Amino acid sequence: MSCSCEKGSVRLRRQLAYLAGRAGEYAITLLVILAINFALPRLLPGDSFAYITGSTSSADYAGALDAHSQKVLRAYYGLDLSLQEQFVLYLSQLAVGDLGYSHFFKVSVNQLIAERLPWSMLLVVTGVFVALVVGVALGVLSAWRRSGNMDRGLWALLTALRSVPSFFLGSLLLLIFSVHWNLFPLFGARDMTLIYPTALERMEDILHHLTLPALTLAMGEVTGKYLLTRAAMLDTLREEYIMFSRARGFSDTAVMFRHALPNALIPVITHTGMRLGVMMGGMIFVESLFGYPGMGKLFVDAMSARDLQVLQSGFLMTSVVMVVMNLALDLVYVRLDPRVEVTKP
Amino acid sequence: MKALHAGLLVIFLVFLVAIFAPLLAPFSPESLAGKPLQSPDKVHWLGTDRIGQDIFSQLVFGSRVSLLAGAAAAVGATLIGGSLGMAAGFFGGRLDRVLMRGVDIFIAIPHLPFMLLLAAHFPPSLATTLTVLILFSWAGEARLIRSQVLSLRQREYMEAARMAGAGKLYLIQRYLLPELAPLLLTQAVLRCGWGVLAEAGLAFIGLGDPTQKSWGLMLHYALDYQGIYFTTAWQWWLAPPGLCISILILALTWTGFAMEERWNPTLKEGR
Repeated sequence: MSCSCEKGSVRLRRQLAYLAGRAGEYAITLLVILAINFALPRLLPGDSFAYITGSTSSADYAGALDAHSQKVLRAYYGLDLSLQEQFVLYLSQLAVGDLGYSHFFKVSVNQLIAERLPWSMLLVVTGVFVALVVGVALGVLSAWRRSGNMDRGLWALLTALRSVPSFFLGSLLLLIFSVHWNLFPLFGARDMTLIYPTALERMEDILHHLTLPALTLAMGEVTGKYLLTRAAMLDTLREEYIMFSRARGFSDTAVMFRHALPNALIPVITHTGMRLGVMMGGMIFVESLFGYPGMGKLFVDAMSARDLQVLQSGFLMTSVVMVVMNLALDLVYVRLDPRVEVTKP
Repeated sequence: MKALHAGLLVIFLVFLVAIFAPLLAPFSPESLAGKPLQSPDKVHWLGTDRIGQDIFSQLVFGSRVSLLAGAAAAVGATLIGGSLGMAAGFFGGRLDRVLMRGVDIFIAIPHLPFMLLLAAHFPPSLATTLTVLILFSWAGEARLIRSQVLSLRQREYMEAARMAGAGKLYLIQRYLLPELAPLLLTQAVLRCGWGVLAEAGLAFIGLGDPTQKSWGLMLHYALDYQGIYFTTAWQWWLAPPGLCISILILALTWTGFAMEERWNPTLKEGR
């Protein structure tokens, strides 16, 4: 085996070990979330039956349910069992993919999530992508012309943008682009009254509905990525290898994009992963503002109806999605950073 | 330094408004002061909302909730996050590992869905909101302070003091806290901005205390009104609270960044 080949296999092993470590961390996170979901309605003071059925107190359901129905329902939710038995029941239901039944929407939670999750994924993935591309591009631009007028202007503009709550920003976008100029629809993810003749038209309509919500979500995220790219680029540009690249006569563009940017991207990728949790919050604001039928809207509707089954399962599924997206970012990270070690960065 | 002065001025003004709210507001924010949905006039400077409450008075009193939320977040982050981060960085070992693993897990949990789940168990009130803000404010701070402490304890004067027999508490009081103070203060200002934003967000999705009108809750009610985009109502009902939130957060952000720059000279050439 040649030398470079051996190095390659060592690197691969390191990468795999790193990914395995991350997967372990995510598994622990999911376990904690399962524990929260199980414990919250059961350990808080009060009647867990009331919580689970969405009533505010035992007096609330006493009038609506006779003693027999109450007994049947308690048995259905496993509330007549001991806590340990309930936990086993909870886990075994999850293991076969049974997320329970929504008393508000009157369908299984599985079905609800299957309908809503794809819309949220579309929204969040588009939002992350747009924020990354725009934030990184502006960050590079700012670092390149550092302390110039454009750098100052971009910095002021983007820090100002970050200070506007997404639900206010989104309502202004709606006001300008949907009401005033009539360019985009006011709400929803697609036109429910249309039957599309072709797949292309269907896609067009979906993109048309996606534009403003995804833009609003991305605008909240772009500043962090811009500031980080700018700082990382300024750091990287001071490194000796960059000076060496310049001395060898590479063009400015080549030095910026081929030599400096890949290294400056590493912290940006890490940051994107850490921000996913915050983005799930942004998703909730944006979806409830734009009436976008994803998980975020589901959350808000379930909250006002006190539909605990939906809230819990939504919480769990949002976390699962976050974990999957984090793993995808870890793959990017491993490819970008040759120094990846077994321990955490 | 322009950013710092402008930021401090705005924060100071909001403070004044919050303190003197009862003198500045022509009506009580809860009283039915006029007919519903009036346009601005001499009596109601920003018109009235759907049930006839004076919007300008709500705006004045809303500053109190926003500042309270910001303060709760700042105090929670500094006290809880600061001391946990200091403990983890200073004592190291097992305590450090356990605490930091806890921080990692906490950050990996989607916060707002968790808040909604919690909120389903408690009635919406200002106390609930503030508790939730404190509960979610500490993790990032703990991680940041820990890394700063780790680098501080490597310094030679710390080493020297330790050799001379200084106790742990003495080291913390005499060297660590003074060195950390600028960072703690900067972070407190930035977390304050986070608190203002988070309160507005919780109120917007309907978790606000209905008896305590905050800027976020005003947005909630304004956007809840079907005709908000199609009449001029947005100009005096939607825009003012939205702008107030944005300007206060911007002032806190710029103040925080400017403080960071002043105390951390390596950042200076970057801007």
